[in-house]
Amino acid sequence: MNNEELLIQQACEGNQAAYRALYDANVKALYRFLRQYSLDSHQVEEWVQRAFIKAFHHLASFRGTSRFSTWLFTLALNEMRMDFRSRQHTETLSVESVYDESYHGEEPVGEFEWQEIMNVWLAQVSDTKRAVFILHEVEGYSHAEIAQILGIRESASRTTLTRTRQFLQQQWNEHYSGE
Amino acid sequence: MKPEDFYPASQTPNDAQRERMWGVIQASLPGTEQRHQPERSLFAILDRRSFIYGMAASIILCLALYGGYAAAQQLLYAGKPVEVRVDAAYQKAIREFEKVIPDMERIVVQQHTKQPDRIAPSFIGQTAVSPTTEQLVARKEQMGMLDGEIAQLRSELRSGDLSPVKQAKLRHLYKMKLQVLQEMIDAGEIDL
Repeated sequence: MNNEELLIQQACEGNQAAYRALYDANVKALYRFLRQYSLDSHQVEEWVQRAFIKAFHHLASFRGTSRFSTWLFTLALNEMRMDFRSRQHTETLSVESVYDESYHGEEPVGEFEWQEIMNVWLAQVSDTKRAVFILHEVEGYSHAEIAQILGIRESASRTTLTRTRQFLQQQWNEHYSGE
Repeated sequence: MKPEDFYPASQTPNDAQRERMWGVIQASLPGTEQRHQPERSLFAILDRRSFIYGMAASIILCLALYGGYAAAQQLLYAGKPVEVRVDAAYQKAIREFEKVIPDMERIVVQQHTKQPDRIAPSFIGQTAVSPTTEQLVARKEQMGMLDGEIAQLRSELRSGDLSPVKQAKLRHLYKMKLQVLQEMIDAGEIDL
């Protein structure tokens, strides 16, 4: 039994310290991932809280066939989608909201600018493409795990990632091929 | 790509945010002891409640079944021909009579041990005197014959033969049996 399984078992028995440890291990990744879908930090906090609360109440049904974080991301995305559906609109990031006006695309690309450029380009793709790209390239999830989190097929996750990469390459070429 | 390279610092929760979120989460979590205790007591309450409901339901069901059975029996009885109902009334009367009269067999034995040779008149209107064993044996035989004839006629009637002659005969036998029982009581042949 690994550490995560042990913590889950203890949390199942009502041990809050164990659940706090699970929270500490996952909250950062979950929050920053969800932050890609809303500019409102309070909204993101609410999704995170709801996901953790739901996870706690359903810990007994967690079979451990996947990582706890995979299951947690699935719950959080469900909460988020539910909100979006109920509001009938999405507050996902638009190009304008991410775009820093000080950036004009002609400056040399440093580390700080790179983050902004990526955010600008990723804001132009669909939610699914953005999620697949971030989960795979940034958070390091496998396609099988991404398929579980997003409720898509593994092959769809692979195709989506390839297309997103192509799009980002194209953007890169358009803006920086001359350098 | 490292997460730190991708996410700006503003998109990562700081300590205050993390604590705030945990505070909300923790408030929604039941405590270790509080988590199990209420569940157990809730289970006990539910268990006790369902037991009471179950008992109440079974009592109601029993009463309803008994009511239904009684009503059905009443309906069946009301639907029967008058002859059958008269027969049933006689039967019931005899049964009730016999219930309060001690067993003939026992009376004969008792009487025999008490007064083996005594001869006593037994007729209506005279002071009751204890009967002899022979008288009681004769009564027993008389009752046995009546019972035998009644049983035979009843079995014939039960098989569907409801001829008026047989019905009249049965009624007569019933009357005779009731009369014999009454005579025995009046003459003091049996101790009540």
